[in-house]
Amino acid sequence: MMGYGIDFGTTNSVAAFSDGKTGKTLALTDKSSNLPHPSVVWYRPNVVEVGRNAKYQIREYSEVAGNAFVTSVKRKLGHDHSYDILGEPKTAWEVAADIFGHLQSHANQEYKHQIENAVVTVPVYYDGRARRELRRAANKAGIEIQTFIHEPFAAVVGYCLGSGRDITQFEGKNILVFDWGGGTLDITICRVSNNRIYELATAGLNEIAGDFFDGRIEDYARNKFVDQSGFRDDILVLRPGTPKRLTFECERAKISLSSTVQERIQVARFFRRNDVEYDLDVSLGRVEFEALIAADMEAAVRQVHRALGQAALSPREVSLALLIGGSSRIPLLQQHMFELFGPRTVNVTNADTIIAEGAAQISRHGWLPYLARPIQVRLADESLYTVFELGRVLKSEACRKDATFYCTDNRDGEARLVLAETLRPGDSTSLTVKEILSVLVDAKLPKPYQHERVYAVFEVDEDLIMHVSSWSATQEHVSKCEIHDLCYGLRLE
Amino acid sequence: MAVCASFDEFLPLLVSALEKASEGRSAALLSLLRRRVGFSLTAEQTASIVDKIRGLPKNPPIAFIIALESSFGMDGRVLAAVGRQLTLEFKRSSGLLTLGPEALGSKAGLSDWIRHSMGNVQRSSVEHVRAVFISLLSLAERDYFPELLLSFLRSTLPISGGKKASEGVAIERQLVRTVGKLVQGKTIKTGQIRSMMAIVSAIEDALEIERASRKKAENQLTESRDLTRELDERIRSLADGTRQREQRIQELEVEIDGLHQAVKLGEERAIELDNHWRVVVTQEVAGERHRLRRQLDHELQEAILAINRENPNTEMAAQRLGRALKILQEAKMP
Repeated sequence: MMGYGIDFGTTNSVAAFSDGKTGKTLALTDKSSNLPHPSVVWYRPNVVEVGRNAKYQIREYSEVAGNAFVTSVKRKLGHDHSYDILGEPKTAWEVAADIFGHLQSHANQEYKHQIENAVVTVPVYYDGRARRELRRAANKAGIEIQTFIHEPFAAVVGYCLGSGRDITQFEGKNILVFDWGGGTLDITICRVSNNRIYELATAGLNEIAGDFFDGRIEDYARNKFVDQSGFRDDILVLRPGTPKRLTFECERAKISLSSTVQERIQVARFFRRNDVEYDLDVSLGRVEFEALIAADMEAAVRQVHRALGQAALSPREVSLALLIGGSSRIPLLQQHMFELFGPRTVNVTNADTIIAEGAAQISRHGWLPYLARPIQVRLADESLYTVFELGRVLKSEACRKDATFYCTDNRDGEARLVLAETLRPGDSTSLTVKEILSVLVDAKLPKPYQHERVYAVFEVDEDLIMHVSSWSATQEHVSKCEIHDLCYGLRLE
Repeated sequence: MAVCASFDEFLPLLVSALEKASEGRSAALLSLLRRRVGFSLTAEQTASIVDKIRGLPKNPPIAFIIALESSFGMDGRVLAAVGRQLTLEFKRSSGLLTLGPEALGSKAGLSDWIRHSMGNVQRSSVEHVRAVFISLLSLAERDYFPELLLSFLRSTLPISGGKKASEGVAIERQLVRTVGKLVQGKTIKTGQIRSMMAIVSAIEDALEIERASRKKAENQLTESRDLTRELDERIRSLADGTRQREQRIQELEVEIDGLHQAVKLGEERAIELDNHWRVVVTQEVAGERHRLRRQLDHELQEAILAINRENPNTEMAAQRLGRALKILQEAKMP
């Protein structure tokens, strides 16, 4: 009856719950601000603090001894990354566990919810290693991950169910999810078909996002100040606290320019030299701001076109363009998107929490990921043997298969198990080789097809990683490999 | 023959006739008794005559003949009164008077009595057969009298020493032989043929009545069966109706339970929804408060920094305060 979802984000994280009794979904936001929890961890001796206060203190304490801050840990998961925290090594997943722990304790203390199981969302590009570390982190915090779901799928579900729509009204339709948050731009085109959502194409930008635009305005303001004051840029060393005030002022101006055409950026006592205080006071018009970010907007729109090209769709064939994330509120971007998709462009109002809300609804309904492309073995005669068919629900207990293959050529002492996926079953033209597993065989056996066999076990685990073990009838050595990038969608039933 | 006016006149004649009868000549006695008389016998006179007749030799059977003739009705004659008394004696002797009212009132009861009574009789007990026969004549008014008579005749066969039809010659051959004897003489014995025809006709009538009765009984049985079937059908229909009603009652009970449950769930849901919207409103208020506080903090802090120094920037401070005021106005706060 109750489902929990967690959007573990690069910049912000938030949990949500969906109540089957009322049909309502609620994001468990920071109670003091109704905002998601910044994914920032502040370490002090014997003290771990996560969230808004940690974020606010970065600039004040990041250089002060006895303080350590970790941001954007999500990007480090799956890479065996380790931080030096107050002289002690701490892995990325352990830091992530502290964020999960904060979400858990906040939900418990402020909302009286105990999150024991949850659907956790991940970006489309997140591979199995990252998912495995994410699960480890959640488990350490006492949260069992029901399953992983792609963030854009959760956004679609959150938008459709959250607004009282029936998701089946999008049957056969294509939906573009444009998620431009503080850290990255992720564009996904997905299709709803036969009660399933699956991706058609993905694109995105890693460097250009919300924080980046604030930085551009800051640079603009500093340059203007330099021009106005005549000080050289290299002597412009600001006192502690001033950069934070400047950032806040630039962010305020950016938001204000969404509804006004002209804004003033003012920071009193911006710079002090020879006991004289200098104020920063520059004007920024929407036109100038748009000029500052025009190249970024064009880069973003290029990514939209790239995704459309991958999916072989024209903008008209997109039935819904969901704009998510703070940077999606920039008028210039909205204008570009409106030019492409017209009134089918939707600015999601609860953009900060919609992914977590969608995940909670998926959790409540017990929906599961399924294999969006069949996994096959290419045989010696170029035909394909299907290991897991398209549509297979990815539950670990349902995803195991044993197979035996004939060895046709043993001359070099190894058989090669070519694992591939195709867009459609049996369509060798769309074949992509995922892994080639080499298995030792007896090179001296005559007529190996009569005597030599290659046995293989295929399994998909709860982290949606496929494990393959293989050995021959004559050799003891077992060869193994893992496939971390299975293409999976979401089954809505 | 002249009519005797009184018993005194009749008595000498009777004595004379009794004497002759005691010598084996009973015709005079029978003739006397058949005469019309101008008096009625008292009970004592009748009993006295009956005693005397019973004292006569039994062959020929004077008492039997008198009782038999009296059954054809001889009102106004001595034979009638004497015959009634003798009939009563025969009925007592045959055991008819010992039957209960149930057996006495039904054909089956009387048939059983005849079979039982005749079955116990020795072959030589002709007296008993005659007593049964005279007793039977008292039932002549009954519809089923011919059947009783037939039953009597059948029971008489073994007594008279004759073979049963099934044991010897076929009944058709016996009939032919009998008819043959009746017509083989110099004169055809029409009287006997008439008697036989009368018996056959009576038996046919009785059988017809029996057939009609059986038909009627069968019709009644059929009607009863139809009625029973109809009643069974109605009972079944009623049972079905009852079962359906019981089922419907159960369904309604389940529905009522469901409705109770729904109401309960609805109440719980209303409470949950109320809580949900309270939390949402609290969240939104907190969010708005946080946003306002941050903006106002920022504006006021900047305003203070702008003026709290040796060379205050009043314009910047004023703009900051103006922005703070605008924030407050937009938030519709007093």
